[in-house]
Amino acid sequence: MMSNKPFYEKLLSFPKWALYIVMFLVVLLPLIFGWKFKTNITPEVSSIFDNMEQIYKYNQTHPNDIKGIFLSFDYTPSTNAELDPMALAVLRHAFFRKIPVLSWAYLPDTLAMGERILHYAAKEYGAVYGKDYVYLGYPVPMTAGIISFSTDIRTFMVKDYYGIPTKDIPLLEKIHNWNSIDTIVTISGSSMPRFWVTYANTMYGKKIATGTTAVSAADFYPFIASHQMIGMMGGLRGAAEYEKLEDDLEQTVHSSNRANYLKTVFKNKDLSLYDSKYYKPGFSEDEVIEHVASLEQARRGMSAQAFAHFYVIILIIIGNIAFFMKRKKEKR
Amino acid sequence: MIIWSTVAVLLTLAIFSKVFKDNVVYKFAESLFVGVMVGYTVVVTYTQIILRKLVDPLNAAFKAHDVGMIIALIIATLIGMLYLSRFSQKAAWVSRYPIAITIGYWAGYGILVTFQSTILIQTYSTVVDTQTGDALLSGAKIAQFFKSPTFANFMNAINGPILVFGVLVVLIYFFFSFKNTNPVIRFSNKPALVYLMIAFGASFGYTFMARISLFIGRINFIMRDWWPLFKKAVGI
Repeated sequence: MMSNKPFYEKLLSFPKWALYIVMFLVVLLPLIFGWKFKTNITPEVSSIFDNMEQIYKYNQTHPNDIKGIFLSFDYTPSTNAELDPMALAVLRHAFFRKIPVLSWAYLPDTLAMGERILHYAAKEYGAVYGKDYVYLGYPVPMTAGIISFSTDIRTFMVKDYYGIPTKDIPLLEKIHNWNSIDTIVTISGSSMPRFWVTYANTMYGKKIATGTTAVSAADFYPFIASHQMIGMMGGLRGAAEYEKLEDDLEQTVHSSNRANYLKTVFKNKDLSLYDSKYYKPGFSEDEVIEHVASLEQARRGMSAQAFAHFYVIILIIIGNIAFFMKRKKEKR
Repeated sequence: MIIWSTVAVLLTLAIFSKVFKDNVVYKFAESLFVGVMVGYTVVVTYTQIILRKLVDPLNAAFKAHDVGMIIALIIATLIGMLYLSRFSQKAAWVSRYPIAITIGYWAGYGILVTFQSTILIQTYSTVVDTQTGDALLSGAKIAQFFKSPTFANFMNAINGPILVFGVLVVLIYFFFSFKNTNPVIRFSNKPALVYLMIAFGASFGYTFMARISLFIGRINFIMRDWWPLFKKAVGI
């Protein structure tokens, strides 16, 4: 039986579940068919990348006074779809350029996730735990950790995440306070970057680079304008941009065949340096496929993102037309 | 591997089932998530805080006969344990002591730096480019545009005035001490609304992007991580 409802009423009462199903297809199809969009780089992201390159250049010319980065995992698994690719891209860049990485996870439910990402990226470059990177674990209270970094973090974090005394970790001999940490990278799904700006930037003048969820991104632009942050990766788009910059950089070295590179990473390395507690050196066929696929996980998502945005723009236009038609009719 | 990945896929679908309507499967997945999170947090708190920050240092202090450290740790622990008085209605007032210490610590530590970073520096950078030291409201920039009317010079000239004007009208918009009949408030209402709507629009766009990203993350997991494992397991 045909409904007598006017056209605009039908549009305005369109069942929600049908809209969700179309959204599901709109997201799914670009991922299935591998449609890609060009990734344009914004200044907020390139400034973080350029800063990392400057650290690399500094370390090249000052081998006795190398600088590292500090990466804080300030997000929970509920936002890892957006933030994991950022953390991975920054870590890949650091390990590729042999920039030392110190890291911790601010939230209890992030500890295992941070550990996994750190080793996942380190393995691709054969980075050695304790020599090239350290995972400090869970700093409580974090402000005390930040203060300790002004002198020696080893007094506050007596043991690392694995229970190793921090006094025995070689990397921490060289890098244990803000003097030897050039930049703090906070990957966050909340207002934590503001915390880092307040305490680490304002108190100690440290450079803050932020990777944040799209929801929070708009809140941090004032800090970029005031140069309290050196840059920001906002949402999946920011992750895709850094991923592209990092990928382009590495392609100049490994050409486009990353799979071959991964298979040979540990070829001439002393395997006794690697403890399987952190990761097992070497890649199986499945792992190579997985790691290569993860190189463009944010960029792959951006095509689905673009289609979803087109879809919502169309829905907003249709919804507004229906609303104005209804209002016009009611005025008559 | 395939078993746990399949459990993850089923739980993802269970959560998505709420799109149609609230149901038992969704409730189960939600409760499971909360339970796992609480359990995990308890374990992490024990291993990373109680063991690392109390038991290990206390052991070390006892071994080194460091009486000062032992006393300090025990006093801190006792003060911390006062939080547990919240469980008793009669003794709940005792928890105000550790709360007072925590608030005192945070307030003392945070007030000055927060004021400096979010008010002083932000106010300063509203009128001055903190990197170059140039004034944002600069007649020279406007003159430069008229001398050489390029798009870059145009943007350079209007960027500062747009920012300063926007901050002022939005601040006035939220200033409720005067009546709406005040000419300054009346004049600033409309432009303030435009600024606010642009900000809300940007926030909405970003929020939508965030939500879709979460969905993409789950689809990525199903397609990239689980599907190849499933194909291998069933021999497709």
